[in-house]
Amino acid sequence: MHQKEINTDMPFLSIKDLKVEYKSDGQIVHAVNDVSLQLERGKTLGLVGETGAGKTTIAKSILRILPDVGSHIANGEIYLEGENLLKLSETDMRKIRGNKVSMIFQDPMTALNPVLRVGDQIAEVVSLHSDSNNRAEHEKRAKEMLEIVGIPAERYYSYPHQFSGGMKQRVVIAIALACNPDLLLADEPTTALDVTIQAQVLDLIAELRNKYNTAMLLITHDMGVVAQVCDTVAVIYAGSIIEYGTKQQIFKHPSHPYTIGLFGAIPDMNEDEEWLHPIDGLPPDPTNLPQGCSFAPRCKFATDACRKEPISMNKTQDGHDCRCCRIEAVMKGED
Amino acid sequence: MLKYVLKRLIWMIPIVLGVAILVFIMMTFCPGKPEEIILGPSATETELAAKRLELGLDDPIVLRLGRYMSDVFIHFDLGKSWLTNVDITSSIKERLPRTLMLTITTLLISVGIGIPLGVIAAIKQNKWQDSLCMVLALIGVAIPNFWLALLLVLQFSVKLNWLPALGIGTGLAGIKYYILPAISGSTGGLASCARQTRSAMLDVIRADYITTARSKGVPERDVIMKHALKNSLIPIITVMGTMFGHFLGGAMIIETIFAIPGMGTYIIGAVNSRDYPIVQGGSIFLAITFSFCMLIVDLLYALVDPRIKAQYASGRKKRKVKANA
Repeated sequence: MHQKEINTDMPFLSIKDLKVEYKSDGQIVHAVNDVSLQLERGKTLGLVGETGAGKTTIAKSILRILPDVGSHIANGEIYLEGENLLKLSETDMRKIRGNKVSMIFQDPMTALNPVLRVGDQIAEVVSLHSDSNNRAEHEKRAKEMLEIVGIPAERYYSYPHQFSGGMKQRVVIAIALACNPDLLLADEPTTALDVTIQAQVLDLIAELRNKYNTAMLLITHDMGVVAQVCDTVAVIYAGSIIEYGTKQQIFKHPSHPYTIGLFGAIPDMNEDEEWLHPIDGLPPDPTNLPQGCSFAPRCKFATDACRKEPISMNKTQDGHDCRCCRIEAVMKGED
Repeated sequence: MLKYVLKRLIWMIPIVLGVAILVFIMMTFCPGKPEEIILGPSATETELAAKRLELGLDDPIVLRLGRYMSDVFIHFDLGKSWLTNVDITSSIKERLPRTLMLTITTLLISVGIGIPLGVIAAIKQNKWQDSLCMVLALIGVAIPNFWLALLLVLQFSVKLNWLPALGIGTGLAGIKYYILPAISGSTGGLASCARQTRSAMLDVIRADYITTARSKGVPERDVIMKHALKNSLIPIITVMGTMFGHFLGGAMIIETIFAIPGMGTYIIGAVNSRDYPIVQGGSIFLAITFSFCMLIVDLLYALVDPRIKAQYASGRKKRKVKANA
């Protein structure tokens, strides 16, 4: 075994100042900028933000499965049980992937290999992280996993094209959970599914997590899912966390103008509103982020101070973090 | 599946008939008189007329075609060579295995080197290994077969005396006679195989399921060999099928250079001496060989991709992915 520096004071998962860049056509895309996060065993952290905000990149950085070409972790540390994953050798990292940390992908239609039997795809992850070489045992475990996610074991021999979208997502979940991971990275696990199946899949994940006390990083842009599943929430905008707190804090007292805008864009069943309140404008170009607050160009509270230099995390009244220098003004609703 | 194979075999009949008719008509309109070539320049007018009568060359073309088709497809008799009077079917039986041996060796070299080159180029995309492989592929396409053949003979037969320069051998030792011809004939196919593999692999290694495989902790070598390559094989197999046809045709040149008594030299010689039955019979056999090769290609698709297998089994033509929700 490799040397471990286990620090018991550290949280289960801790990301510090993570910075990820992509190079594209000679320009640098600032996908993730100084993100710091913490997650305890058995808890769920929701990463919320719009498409392209860098949520998936954070998850892939943890597993170190960013595409080889052009992507690069420029800075930061990712500690899992006190061990810096970014410093591990590729061989040691491979032992963690799919075993201690596993990932559920966004699009079940493309996440499974079309030419391999679904059962074999589950058995593969089992055999990779098992001490025994007994194929029958791995197959048995794969069949067990199929049953757990609600697919009859005899479908082991089917190919992905013989499954519906919801069933494929169940297979993806079975692969992710086959080795009882300590940390589950769920990248919009329900986005590609219709609403009835969404609820089933979320229930399934919750049930399995409770059983094995698995921590989960849930990536989503669906506030409803966050409300249902998460303990803490990090709101991401243009690759940075702009608001970070418990679910209650964020939902009761959203403090960043962007988060407030996100909630404004959800229809409220109790009020008779004709129009939603979308946030005006578009996210900034990640190759050319604003110097100051990245949300300033769209923010009606922005002052010259906001545009001048990067904003640090500030504490709100109820004690959660918010990357805004005009929290009081925002709370009072002054322009 | 068996039904599919049977259907394909039945489809082969019109193809072979078509080839037979086409080649027959083409040979009829070919300039040059067979009787003059058979009897030589000293033959008299009466001798020529007698030969024409014997070969039936004065009959109308429809009658000759009908007679030929009934001989071939009802009596399964390809006839005899006009020049040597040797039975064509037995000549082909003797020669076809040599051409197949040459073609298959050529194919194996192309695929055996082309696929690894393409895989290396794809996984090292935009690095020096990629450039090297693609430059080799470019050279492979550009190099003329006959020129390479002569260079190889000069080096390995004349200077080093490792391999025979021409002819054929018997038994296991006969294999070495095919090495130089197969290498000379393979460069073009090898290059297109490498290019096709590279582009297919580049498509596949960006796919989501490759990320899934990595996230499971699959070692990089298995990600490429087990997950990516199998998905890239469909376009590669397609190229292999057309390559096989190309090599069958190319065998005419290679066999001539290396003096291999196969189908290529047989047909070339017959074209030169206007020995119509040999050209026709040889073409029919090459058409059958190529049709079988295409059938094998289609069966290989099913072996590689379960979606195509399902489609064969259900007998549907269009590729529709079935989702039983």
